[in-house]
Amino acid sequence: MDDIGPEVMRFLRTRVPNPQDVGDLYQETFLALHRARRTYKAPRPVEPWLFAIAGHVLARHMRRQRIRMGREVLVDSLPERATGDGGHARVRLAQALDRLPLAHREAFELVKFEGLSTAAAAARAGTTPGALRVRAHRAYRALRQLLGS
Amino acid sequence: MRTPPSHERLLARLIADAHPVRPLWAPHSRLALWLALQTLTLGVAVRVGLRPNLGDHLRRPLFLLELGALIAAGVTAAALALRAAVPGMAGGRVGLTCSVLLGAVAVALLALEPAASVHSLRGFVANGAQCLVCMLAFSALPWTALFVAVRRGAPLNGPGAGAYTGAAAFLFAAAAVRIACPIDEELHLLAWHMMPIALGAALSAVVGARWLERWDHA
Repeated sequence: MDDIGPEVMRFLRTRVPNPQDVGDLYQETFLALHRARRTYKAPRPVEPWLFAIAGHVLARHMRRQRIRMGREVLVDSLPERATGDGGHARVRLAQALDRLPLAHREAFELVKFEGLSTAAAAARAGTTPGALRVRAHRAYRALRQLLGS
Repeated sequence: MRTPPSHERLLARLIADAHPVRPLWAPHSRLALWLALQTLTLGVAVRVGLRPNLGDHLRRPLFLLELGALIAAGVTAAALALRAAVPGMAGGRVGLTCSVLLGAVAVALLALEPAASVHSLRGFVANGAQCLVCMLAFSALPWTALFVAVRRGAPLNGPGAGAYTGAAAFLFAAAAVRIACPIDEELHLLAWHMMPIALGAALSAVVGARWLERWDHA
């Protein structure tokens, strides 16, 4: 727990803005790890297994959230505090990331959000550094098109 | 601080469930077991098949290639299904492409068989229905075994793992029915031997979406 807990927390924090959701997802991830424990067998590297499960929990959360957002009704009165441009850009980026293939998105997030080296990111994604570079490059290109710059 | 009863219940359940577990066998070991079962299925097809001249057919390169492509596609799909049940081990696009390509090769090879005109729709459907029933019979046990094996793991993509499971079981069933069925006509083979594979995989994907992703739900 001491070894992988902070890693999982960092993984979730970079992807989920709400700290309360991060806490919930952290717990859900460890529950899922507990239930899937028979699928891990040493000496396989633990990171691809761990982050595949964390990514699955996160994807399920995003899906639920998207469904919930689709059902929400816009209010007439604006909130007192404005979100600001940063918030708007963040939402646009999150929407653009949602439209990327999962592998490309993962490569982009590992390199850009978590600041991992190509080799470390490739180890976590369970692929080769070359393949990860290609995925990240495709993600940049798609994001540039989606964000229109 | 007193925790809510739901937390206490969850903790009690986790503590009760917190015994050491034996890790699942590696996907290739489980695949080998499943292939042993499929060898029996193919053996049954040879034994009970209605084809009178199987020996002659086994000397035809086209027939052997058809069987080879179906079996290779089935093995690939089964491997993908078992790997999909282990987080971080899913086959990805290369495996999927291989399986689809092998399936496409099988379809192309079957399309090379002589085309025959359908004289009676009733006869065409009656013969086809027999093959369909045989496909279901040959795929039932292997599909169940593979589905249970996948469900014992932790598939992250239920519909995908379900589709692979269905495709694997029905590809082998198609190979078994190809051995057993005496009709070598293009239209019959495509309609009644190949179409059920696609339908079986689609149905299995639906079942997978319902039953395979349940492992991580609270």
